[in-house]
Parts: sequence; C-alpha cells; structure tokens
Amino acid sequence: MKLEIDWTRCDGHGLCAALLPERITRDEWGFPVLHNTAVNPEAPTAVRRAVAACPALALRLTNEPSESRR
Amino acid sequence: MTIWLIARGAGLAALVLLTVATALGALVSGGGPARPGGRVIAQYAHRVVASLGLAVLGLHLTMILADSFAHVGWVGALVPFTSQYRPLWVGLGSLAAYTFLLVAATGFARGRMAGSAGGAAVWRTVHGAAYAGWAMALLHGLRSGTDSSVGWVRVLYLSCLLVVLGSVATRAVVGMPSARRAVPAGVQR
Repeated sequence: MKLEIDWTRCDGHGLCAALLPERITRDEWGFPVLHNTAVNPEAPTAVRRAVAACPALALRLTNEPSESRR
Repeated sequence: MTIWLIARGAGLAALVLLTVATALGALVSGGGPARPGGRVIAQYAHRVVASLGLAVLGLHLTMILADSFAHVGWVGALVPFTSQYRPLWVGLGSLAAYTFLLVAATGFARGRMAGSAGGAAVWRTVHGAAYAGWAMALLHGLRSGTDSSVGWVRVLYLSCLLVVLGSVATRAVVGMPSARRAVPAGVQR
C-alpha cells in the first residue's frame, strides 16, 4: 500500500506531520513532505490514524502496490 | 417512576453531549487550536464526546420504550411521526437519532472515504448532516420534553443553541481555507 497526498485538498494543517513524524515533515510553508510512502499491507495503526485525522481529507492510503521508491 | 426520570435525564444529557460533539466538530474541521498537537487532541475529544452522546441517546431510547407512561412504543419510536404522544416532535427525535447514526458511520469510515475520488465530498455532506440532526434534537427536546418549562432547563437549551451557533460562526470566520492561506499556519522557521 502507498501513502499519498491529494494536493488539491491539502491546506497544510500539519496534523499528519504531528502524528507521523518519522514519515512526514513540513516544508517552510507548513505543507507536508513525504519521506517514505511505502506502507505494509497491514498498515500500522499510526498510519491509519494520521489518514483519519487529516482535516482536509487529503492524506490517503491507496491499494496500488508500492514499488518502494526511495 | 425511576425509569421515567432516567428517560428524561438521559434525553437532556444526550442533548448536551451531542451539542458539545457538534461544536467540537465545527471547530476541528476549520479553526480550532492553532497547534497541530492541540487539534489532534480536539479531534479525539470530538470522537469521545460523540460516542458518549450516542450511548446516552441509546439509554434515552431504551428508557422511553421501557416506560408505559411515555405512550411512544416501538413503532412510535422507530417510525417517525407515528407516536401517540406529540407525533411531530417525537418524530423529529427519531429522525435526529437516525441522522446521528449515519453521521457516526461516516465518522468511523473517515480514513477509507478519504481514499476514494468522490469519497471526501460525500463524507463532508453526510457528516455535515450532524448540524441538521442537532437542530432536530433541540426542537424535539424543547417541544416534547416534560421539563421544557423548568427554568434551568430552558437556560440549558439556550446554552446549547449558543454553543453550536458560536462554534459555527468561529468556523465560518477563521476556518475557511482562503483565510488560512492568507496567513499560513504553523510555519515554524
């Protein structure tokens, strides 16, 4: 599975970075930077929590197999 | 008699809890605390209070059904506007309960619905029905509640109204995406 950001929705609230500091940091405008998008099929609870917490519903977990880039 | 008292008390308690849940929902969606950490906590508070509200709503329904004095009955409670006692206002309560169940279902499915293309728009519309549910619950309590003529209960209803109106106004003023973009929040460097 893969972690993705829908940039048409993201407003840079910063909740994802607060919940998943090991995968997501914020750029100087407060918008998220993803460092590791590959997620195990049994996604850790922390990832699911971050996806559910995004106020703009912009963070998502897709089913497409991660080709483990980066 | 105890059952009847619990039925009335649970109704008021459910209204208060669901009012707080609705207000917190309005605040966490847009404005709310500026720091992401504070917003995460506010989100959890929203979920906890909403769940408690639904549980107490369940108690309210159970006690109304258990009480023979209420003259509502299974059909009157489940099918809106068929209650023997004040069908219109009891019916609004049933509709409010159904609305909140639907809203809770989208709450649980939030992460999944964020993933699909149209899911986010559907999520916002359906979850936003909570405002309608809350308004119906308020009218239901005011017009079919036994205690609506009591002074402090009236103050309670008025407070509930002001809390939600206040939070919605806050959302409208500080929560709009354009307002946030003008003053980017959380820039830490």
